[in-house]
Amino acid sequence: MASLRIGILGSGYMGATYAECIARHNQRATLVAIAGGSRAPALAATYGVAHLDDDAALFARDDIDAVLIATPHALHHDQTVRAAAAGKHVLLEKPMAPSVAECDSMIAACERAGVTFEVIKTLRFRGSISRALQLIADGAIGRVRMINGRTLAAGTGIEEKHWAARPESGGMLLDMGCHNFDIICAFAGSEPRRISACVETFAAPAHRRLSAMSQISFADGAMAQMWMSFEMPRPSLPDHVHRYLVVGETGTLDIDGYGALALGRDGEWREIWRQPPIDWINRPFEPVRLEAFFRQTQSFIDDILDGRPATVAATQGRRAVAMVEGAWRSALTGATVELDTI
Amino acid sequence: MTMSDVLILGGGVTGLSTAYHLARRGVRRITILEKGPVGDGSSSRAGGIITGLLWSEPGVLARRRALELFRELSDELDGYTFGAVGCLNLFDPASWPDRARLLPLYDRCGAPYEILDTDALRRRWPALVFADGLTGLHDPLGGYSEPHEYVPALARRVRELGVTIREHTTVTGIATAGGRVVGVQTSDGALAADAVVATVYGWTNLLLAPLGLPLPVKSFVHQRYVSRPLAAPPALPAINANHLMGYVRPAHGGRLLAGIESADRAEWRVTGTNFRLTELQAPPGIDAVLHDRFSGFVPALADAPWESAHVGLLTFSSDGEPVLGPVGALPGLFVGVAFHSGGFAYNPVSGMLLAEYVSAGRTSIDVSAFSPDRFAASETAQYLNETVPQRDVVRRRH
Repeated sequence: MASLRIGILGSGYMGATYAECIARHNQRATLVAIAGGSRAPALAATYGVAHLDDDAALFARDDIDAVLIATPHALHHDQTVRAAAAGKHVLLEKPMAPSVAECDSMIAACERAGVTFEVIKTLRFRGSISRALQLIADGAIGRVRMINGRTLAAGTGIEEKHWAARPESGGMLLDMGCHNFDIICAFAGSEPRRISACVETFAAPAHRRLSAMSQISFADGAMAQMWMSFEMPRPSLPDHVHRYLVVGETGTLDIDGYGALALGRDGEWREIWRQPPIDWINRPFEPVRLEAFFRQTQSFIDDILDGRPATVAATQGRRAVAMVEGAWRSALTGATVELDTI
Repeated sequence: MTMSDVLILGGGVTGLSTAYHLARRGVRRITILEKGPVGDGSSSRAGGIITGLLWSEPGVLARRRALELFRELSDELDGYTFGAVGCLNLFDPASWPDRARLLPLYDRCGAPYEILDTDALRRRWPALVFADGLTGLHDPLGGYSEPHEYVPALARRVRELGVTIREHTTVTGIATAGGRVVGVQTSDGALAADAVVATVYGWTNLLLAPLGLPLPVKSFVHQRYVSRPLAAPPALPAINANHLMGYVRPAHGGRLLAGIESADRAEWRVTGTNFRLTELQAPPGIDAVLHDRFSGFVPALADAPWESAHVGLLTFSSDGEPVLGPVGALPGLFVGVAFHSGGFAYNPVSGMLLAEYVSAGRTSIDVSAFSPDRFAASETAQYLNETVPQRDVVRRRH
């Protein structure tokens, strides 16, 4: 197989992002068709590919090897299971699903069908975070001991009527929390064992689970805190939309997901890298934004074509959803939740 | 729209107990929706007898915990005391072998019991008339509760724990979106929640069938009576008199309470959310039949006519076991129903188990055998299409 033939399900902001990646940037891949959502016909026309009526039509195409699913969270389970049954490899937008039970069922369906199933975790592939992960892997700070993460914003930027604001979408704890928890695990390089959390929605009743403080312990003894809130009074805090401190045996990383990456070691701080500004609204397809997305889609393509193990396995998508579910259960009762019980 | 962490549908003992255990586990935003006043349904009409000697391992293990919880609640709830008089289950020679086969289960589960032959029964309870050939299976931990004490006491405690109880609010439907439960529709508008627990007994399928998730559960009319105070109330345990198709126990103020089945009567179909148990009537003359039959067994009853009657419903599943747990096809929905005639007896532990499912996703006692997902859709449809007389449901008393 010289080129992986891909169909995209979903035509919103992310569907368009991945269409741009696959049609214009990825190697060894061909965009074949797009289905799903009101903007699908226009998106298909933009790239000169087929527009199909619905997901079933996409899954039925013989000339599609893999599907990229970028639809509302609540549809992920059903669409993944059906794609697998049709023999398609699946690359699925985060969060993997609103519940761990659905994640398990999806993993089982893909194993039964013998297809590759990966979950999108683009933050791992983005500027300062991906460089921080490389530094940790290279031993720049020794073994990771402590992590502190903050995602603080003055609002969600999601309109009340948007599907992502509806209750079945799991609120921001799922939407953003699955990113945060995945990144924390990637930094720790160990499996999370226990989580305790407070989760609140202080104000806006249309949006849910907007603020959370979680504490996580890992199998190797590392520990982490994550503070997420979309209810900060304006102007919130500068440079805290996505920021982490990662403390190792011999050094510290200060990681602004959209800004500077600094390494504190040998008695001094050093700026390693700085993210060039991203214009999310006006220039979404500039390489500076698109980079993280096409790096992940390329990994998926290469994994399949070269028979490599999954770069971001579905089990890691499940892990993030389990941490979200654990945080929520902990918040319900105040008890610490053992993640192996989820 | 008001947001609850957990909405409990039905303010009977199972719903109240679920709220109690959720609140005790730290859950803060709990709302109970009850179409009438609290305890308006079968809870206030229950016989209130409890025995730990049931028919399956999860049942026996769950009841053992229920018996502990009734005793703990007896200390905790103002105005409620568990009647720790033991529970005697009686069998005629034809029915005893089936029960005898369950004794190894009781041994394995640590459920204490005594087996008493007719002579031993007569020596132990001289005020009762035991027919020849009866075998007694005595549960020393069993007993009874008075529903009119227990229900208001538990409701008071649940309110103290911060639970909101909305009475006179009829749930007309369960709201779903994206394949999960997001709340309910009520006579007062929509309510949102992360979890919905349906503990609505005979009304369950009215809510589940529209979702395409009916359960093989049927309701049967049951009646129980309380006598006038007896001049000299005999000492007796709570008794499941299987050979008499009924039960009898001591009741408040020196009275006796007894209940009986109407075996020929067909199931009762609850056809609308507005149905109330006050519409039910006992078969004509069954009160006299019951009085006659039990006066032969408890002679002291002969001089004490019935003072009050209660007619309610029992719910049975097609396999006789309770239906309790999350509904797999609809994340966020939990069900507790079909506790044969032991919904009251189960309630402290059924509420505990539902609270564990909702808050932790798993239970401290393995009751996976009670899962609502255990029934095949085709079998459910077939069962619901049949009309079943009470004599054909699995014989289970309390």
